[in-house]
Amino acid sequence: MSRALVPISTAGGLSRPPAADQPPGSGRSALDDLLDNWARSHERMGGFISPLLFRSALAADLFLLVLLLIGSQISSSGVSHSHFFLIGGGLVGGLIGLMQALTWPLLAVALLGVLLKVVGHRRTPQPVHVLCAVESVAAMGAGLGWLLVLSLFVLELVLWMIIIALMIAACVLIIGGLIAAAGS
Amino acid sequence: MAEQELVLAPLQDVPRQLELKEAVSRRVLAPARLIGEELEVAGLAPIPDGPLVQQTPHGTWFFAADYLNDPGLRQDRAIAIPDRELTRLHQLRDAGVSVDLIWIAHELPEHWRPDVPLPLVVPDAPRYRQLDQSLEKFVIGAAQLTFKAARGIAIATAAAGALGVGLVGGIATAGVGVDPVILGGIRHPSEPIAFWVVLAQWEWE
Repeated sequence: MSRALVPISTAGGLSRPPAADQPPGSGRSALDDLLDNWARSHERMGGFISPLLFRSALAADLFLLVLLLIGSQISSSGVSHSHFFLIGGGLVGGLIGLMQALTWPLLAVALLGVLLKVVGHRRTPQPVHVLCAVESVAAMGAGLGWLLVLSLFVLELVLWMIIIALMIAACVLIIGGLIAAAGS
Repeated sequence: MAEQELVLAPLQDVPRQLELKEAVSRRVLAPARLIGEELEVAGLAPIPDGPLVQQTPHGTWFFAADYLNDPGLRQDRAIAIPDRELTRLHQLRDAGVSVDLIWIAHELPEHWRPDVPLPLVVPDAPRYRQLDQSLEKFVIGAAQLTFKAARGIAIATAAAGALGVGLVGGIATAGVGVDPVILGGIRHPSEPIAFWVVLAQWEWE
């Protein structure tokens, strides 16, 4: 069983006429053209990034970019100087500063990753595969770091809520005691 | 994969057939013998007008096209050939083997049908598949560790809201063992036919 198909388009840049168009037995051999211009070692051609790595790296790139936008809005020095309101504010401020310092190099990695992915999902050399894994893990680390910072803020908030609640309770007790004393 | 057999419609009663056979012997078979290679002669067949699809007696399919119309070339801008076969082809060329036509046939899975797009005809080299598998394990391990740490922080701080750290699931690209054949053709001096010789043939790992 055989049938002819509609000829598929040739790859970009194939401008030379095929050797097949030459008269038989004369000129350049098709084997010469194949070996000199088109054949390449399969082992050295690179490989397609696996779907899992590709998607996780793409998600990591976007996550890092969002994280940078949010993280750059927080002033680490402001947090450090808020000793009165933020117990251990220096520690939180230092952590924010560290995360912000790490976010910029990570942004470069993220942008490089996005660029490589936008260029096309083609066979890529080993370092690009490794970069995808590095992006993914870096995004997880950065996410965890910022989660820790947010958790410390929440802890501070809870701590202040407890302090305020205790102060209100103390005030109520004092006022109640004063009223009771005045009544007696 | 079943034994490969590219079906060529054999031609009989071709004028100047002896002359063509002599050219095949002089330009392909004799130079190959100089380096100890005994090339397999596929036979005399018409030069197709365009890419061909053929079903073999084993049920699998072959997609054959001139090397400049090869789907692997369109996909990778290069024709992937294993190192061993590439070296062998260079040796054949250096020995003086010369052909007018080169067609590359790719074996396609049995379930493939001509009305569906061609699958990936050149799988990744094994080392890339192994690297990706190792990296996937690393990323999944890191994700699990991150998830545990994040959950610990969330519980410790009694933070409201759900915390989800998930990874997009996926399955590593499975290498399809499609097996190519490179055919060299010597054109008939006057007729639109050629004498075909198997220059290289391999199975992807």
